[in-house]
Amino acid sequence: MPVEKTITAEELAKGQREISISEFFVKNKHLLGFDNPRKALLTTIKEAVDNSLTYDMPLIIRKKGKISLTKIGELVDAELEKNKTKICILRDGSLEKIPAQESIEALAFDKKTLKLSFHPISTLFRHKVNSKIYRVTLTSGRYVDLTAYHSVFTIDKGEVISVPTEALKIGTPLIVPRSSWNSDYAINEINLIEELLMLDPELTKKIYLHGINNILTDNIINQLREIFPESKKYRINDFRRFNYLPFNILRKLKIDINRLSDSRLGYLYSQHKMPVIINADNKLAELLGFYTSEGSMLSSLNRIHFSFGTHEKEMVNYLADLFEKVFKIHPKIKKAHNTAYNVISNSSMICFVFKHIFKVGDYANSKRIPEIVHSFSYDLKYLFLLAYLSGDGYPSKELFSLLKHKGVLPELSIEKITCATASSELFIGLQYLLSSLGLSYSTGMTNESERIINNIKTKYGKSYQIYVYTSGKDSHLNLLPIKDTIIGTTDSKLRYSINRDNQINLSFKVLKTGLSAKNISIYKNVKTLLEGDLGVLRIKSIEEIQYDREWVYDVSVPNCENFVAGAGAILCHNSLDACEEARIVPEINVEIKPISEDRFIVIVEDNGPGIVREQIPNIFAKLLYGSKFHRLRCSRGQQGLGISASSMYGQLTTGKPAKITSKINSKKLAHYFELIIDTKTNEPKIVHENDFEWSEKKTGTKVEIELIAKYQKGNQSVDQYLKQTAIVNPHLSLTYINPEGEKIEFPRATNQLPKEPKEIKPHPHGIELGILIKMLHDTEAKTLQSFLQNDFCRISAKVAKEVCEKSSLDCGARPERIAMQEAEILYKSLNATKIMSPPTDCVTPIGEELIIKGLKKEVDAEFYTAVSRPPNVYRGNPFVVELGLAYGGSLDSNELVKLYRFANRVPLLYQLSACATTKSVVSTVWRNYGLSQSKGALPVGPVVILIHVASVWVPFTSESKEAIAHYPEILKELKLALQEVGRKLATYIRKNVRAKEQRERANLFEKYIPELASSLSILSGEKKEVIKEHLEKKLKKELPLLLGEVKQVKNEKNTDKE
Amino acid sequence: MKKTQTKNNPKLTLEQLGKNLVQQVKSMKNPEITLPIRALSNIEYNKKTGTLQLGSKEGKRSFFNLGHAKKFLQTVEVASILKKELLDTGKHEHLRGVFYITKRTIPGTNINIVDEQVESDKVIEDLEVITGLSREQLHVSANKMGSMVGNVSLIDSGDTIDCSKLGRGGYSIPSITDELQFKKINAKFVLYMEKAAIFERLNEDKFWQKNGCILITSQGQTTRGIRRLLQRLAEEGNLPIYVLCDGDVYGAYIYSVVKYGSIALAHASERLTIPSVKYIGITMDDIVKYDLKKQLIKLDEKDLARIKQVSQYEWFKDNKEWQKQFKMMKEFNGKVEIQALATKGVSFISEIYLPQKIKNKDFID
Repeated sequence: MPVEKTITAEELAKGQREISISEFFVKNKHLLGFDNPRKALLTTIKEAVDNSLTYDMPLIIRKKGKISLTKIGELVDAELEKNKTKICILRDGSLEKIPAQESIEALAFDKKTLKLSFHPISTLFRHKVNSKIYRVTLTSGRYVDLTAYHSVFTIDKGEVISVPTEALKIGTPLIVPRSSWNSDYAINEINLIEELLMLDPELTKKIYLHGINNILTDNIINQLREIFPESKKYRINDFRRFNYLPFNILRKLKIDINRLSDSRLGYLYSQHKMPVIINADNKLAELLGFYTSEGSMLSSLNRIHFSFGTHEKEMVNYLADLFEKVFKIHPKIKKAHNTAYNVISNSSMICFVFKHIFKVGDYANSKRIPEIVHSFSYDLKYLFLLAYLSGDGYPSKELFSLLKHKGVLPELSIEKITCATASSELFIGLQYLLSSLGLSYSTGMTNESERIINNIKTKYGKSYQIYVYTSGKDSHLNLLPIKDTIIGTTDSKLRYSINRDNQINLSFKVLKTGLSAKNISIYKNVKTLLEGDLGVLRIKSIEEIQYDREWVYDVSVPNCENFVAGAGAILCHNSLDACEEARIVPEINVEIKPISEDRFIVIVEDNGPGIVREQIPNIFAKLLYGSKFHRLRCSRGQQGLGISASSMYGQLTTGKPAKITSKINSKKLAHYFELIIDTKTNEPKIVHENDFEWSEKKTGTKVEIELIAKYQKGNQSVDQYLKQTAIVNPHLSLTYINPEGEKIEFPRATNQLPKEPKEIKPHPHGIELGILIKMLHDTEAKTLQSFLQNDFCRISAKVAKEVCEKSSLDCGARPERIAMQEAEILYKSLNATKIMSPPTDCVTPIGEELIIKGLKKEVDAEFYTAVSRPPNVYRGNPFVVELGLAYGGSLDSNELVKLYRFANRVPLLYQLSACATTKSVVSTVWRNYGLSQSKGALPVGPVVILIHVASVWVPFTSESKEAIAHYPEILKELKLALQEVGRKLATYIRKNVRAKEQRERANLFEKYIPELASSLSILSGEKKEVIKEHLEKKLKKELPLLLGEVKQVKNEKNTDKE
Repeated sequence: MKKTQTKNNPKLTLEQLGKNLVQQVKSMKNPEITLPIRALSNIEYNKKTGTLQLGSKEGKRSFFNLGHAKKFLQTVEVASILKKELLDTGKHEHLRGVFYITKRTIPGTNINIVDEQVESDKVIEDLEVITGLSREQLHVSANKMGSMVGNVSLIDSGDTIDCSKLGRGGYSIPSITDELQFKKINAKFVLYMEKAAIFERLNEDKFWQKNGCILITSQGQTTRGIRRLLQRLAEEGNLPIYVLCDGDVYGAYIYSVVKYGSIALAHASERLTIPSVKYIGITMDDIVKYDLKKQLIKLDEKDLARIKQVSQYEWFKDNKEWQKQFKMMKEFNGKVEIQALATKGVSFISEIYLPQKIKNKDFID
């Protein structure tokens, strides 16, 4: 007899083991949406379908007449910081802009004349980085870092047009400044007092004015008396006696600065005193040039010196002479060692001026063009350049002699001057200087390297080289692309050289000669180009670069819509609205291939950024990987379980692996994987992988899954799903090939991409106790108060304190020490405290305009309207309700209205009757709005209603997530939205449909008249035609009355009853 | 449009109607037809004559009016058909036939002149009122409905008919009874019932033979043909008329139609009403007397509403007997059919109930 064994706990324990997530889901397919073959197909499709200038770019601006080269990021950030209240935040915080607060100008070209000049900037922008950043490098070395959709300019058949970075190719000619450009008002003298006044008082506190007796009038004395307290009034006497005044005191006086023109400035106790006015003349320019190449200062700012080699003795004397003439102080000349001479001055005042007013750098690596030089006149800039080149350039002797007799570069014997520097800032500044002088140049760069010299390993840092072309003959800047300038020519020589395959450029000179000889024909605007300030340089390379900052920048220059920026002057387009397109506008291809009656291959391909190789196995063959459950953000997708669920289902039913192809870089190869999931361990297994050239695609992903499924057309089908998806995503371009081989296209209706939803911190009213306890445990905050303030949204210090008080907990308590019971009390107090509703910028509605666009695309009706309700909150979760309605047209007027339901842009196709949206439509009294409706049912009429609920956390009635739960707040919003839409519909029907009916009725008379005439003729014996004529005449008179007679009709009808 | 007095010349009347309208058209007026309003609001109860009469309210129907246009057209159209197809040719046609002749699609539209027979029937009635002619005079006949048995013989279109020798079916009463001639009447009274089933019962039991009466049934709504016949029997034959109906408000109404007239045909009351008619049953007292309480059928909302409405009619309002009846109806909250008497025996009605009632003169006026 078999004895029943009693099973022990240990034996039971042996049999237990952790099941992996995959195993769990295998047994619970319905949780993933794979209840049945037909739904499986739908879910697979769902899951598959569902997956500027950078900061450092220099920008040339003119502020208050002073030209400077500034980093665009620095400029915009500073402006935004200074004027926080005037910032305009758009597109959910991804774009910030501010109108220019003071007059700032950028260098831009006039669209008509193509000439460069300074134009005011109206607005400054920064927007969050949302695309790749490219470095576009031109021949001759200039480059600019831009977002993919920012634009630059090119020449196309004589026209200067803008072109987005994305569309650039190697060899494309880009527009750059060619001729010299200059300030309209160059400075000719520097008033140090004015300059000092603009500096921070902290800096100028050690500066004194000397020789000021002439201004110590009674008025001034009185002012001084008011400034100083009683105990310090003696100082006024000191001023008088020693004939000086601290500069910062001057700041407080009301005095005409010009009266101090003859005084001198000194630094603390130092001997040397500088004149207040320094002439901006050739001496200063040359001095600054020399400083830039040879000069440096000590960090203590009490010594400035210039170093020369022994062979440069002439220069040493020359410089010393300059120095004295400008600063009225005699510098020392010392022989530092065998090979070097130094020109030295110990004047702190001079150092101060150099550093803070001329703004020169200190060390070799931070050298730059003194800012003031950019505001010099052309001649002075030229001299500065010559002086600089004498120091740093080659051949320096020739250059120096050129400088001495004030010659010009073409006089040199060589065609290319070389100079090198280690400072990138100087490198860029020089390029702008050269550009502003209309000189052409090219650049080079040597990276860090090590070399062995004299058996010693020597390290060389990065170095930048500039090659200045003396005559411009060989410069690329002087060439223009033939195919975009010349249409044809009669000159045979010219024609021959043009027809030669390897000549693609033509120089300005040749073009001009040809024009005047009238033997070439050019495109319309080429003449303007020849007379303008612009030139062309071809693109040498376009590379994607790493950009780690948060923002990219832009400025708006009205009327011109362009500005000069970049590392080396390049013209950039102010194309802010294109920055929205900086994200990729999506294109998806869906194909369902039937293999047999119940077996299909689902192929979904997109043009997104692709998926990195290492991630592919995990994303497609590991359940719950990369899900967005932990983030409180409006995210698409049903289960959040991702495409791996579909892979698993396919594998389960057909045994075939999922096939994934991905390409992340247009220049690189694409990766191909065949994956299966090991359900025991929930790990991906790679069955096959290889790389190949996917030439048709720039970047993108392709997913192929084979599964058992059922294809059915109709209401809950893949076709319906895709059609509805196309409606609420009007920016999506979708192509669908169904199992019958039909190709259905859903073209996009707009290029405007939806805003990226912001992630928010949880709202205290929306969390459960268990979550609160976990948050307390995991928080980084050290006190309870800061935990409440920082880990939740909408809790201010005051509210946090209030909550602590209510729960009788100490504000400073450590969060992780809070015990269970206390946490419960805390939880209760949180819910009992009045807290402001959460911010609603984390929900992204589609918007009324786009809803209508989407509906218009797919529904053929005569009237469209939409309503997007303001965001609201349920249980601590923000949500927004949107409605669209289409009426008339080809819709059937005898059928129930069609309802398209969406949650976070995902169509809901099942459980229509359980959904809150359906309930609210049914409970609306549509009779009031012109539709007939039986009790408890949807109304009847030629109507399509689109309902979209977007939320951080959309509440569903069950785990299958097909129907929205009936929260009162949501129902209320739905009701209000329906009423609004209903009213609009009613107005339309009233006006248009009734009017139509009336007109039709009025038309009836024309049909009745012949009949009436005929009957009357029979009755009376009179002639039919006569009667008819009279009736028709009468109709003409009566018509206007008739059309306004609808109201009367109702009354008359009553009296006519039996 | 004034009512013409030329009863004898329908053709002329219609022609006159037409001419009048054309006149209006020619003078660029909006052609209109005036007719008395045939609704309860325009019914007057003439206490002296004991009949319902049309009041003086008139409604206008004009062509150039969005609401009236179709009706106007229908009216004129039917009038022309009546003249051309019937009067001019001398033929007669049924209501339904007239409907079919009238029904056609207006060329260039998808609208029909008439869609349902109800529309053309109504128009014919309108024309009766407009012209002051009867339907029969306009050569329009209704369906035959109703039968008669009894000791009476008459001449119908040249045929002599003895209604006592017509088996169980009886004489089929034509829709136009004006032209019948009574040859011989040998009866003491006339018993009219709406229900054909009762007629058959009584006929099988030879009730008319045993009691010396004439049995008439209308098999449904009391048509004017039957009313006219009843009236003629009352006047020419000098016979009392008794009405037998179900014990409910609808029976009361049928009775009132026979006695006072109907709203729809108020204009023809003179020829159709029989002020002397009496109501024999089923009354509410009968329910008590003959113990029919178990046979009560509960009243529903519609019944109650109708009771309220009918009891308020001017000709019922001051009738104490009837008011008592209505009150009892409400009290019992039920109604009783004639067939309920069968519970007492199949021929209870013919052998006991009716003879008793007649003997005791147990009527309601």
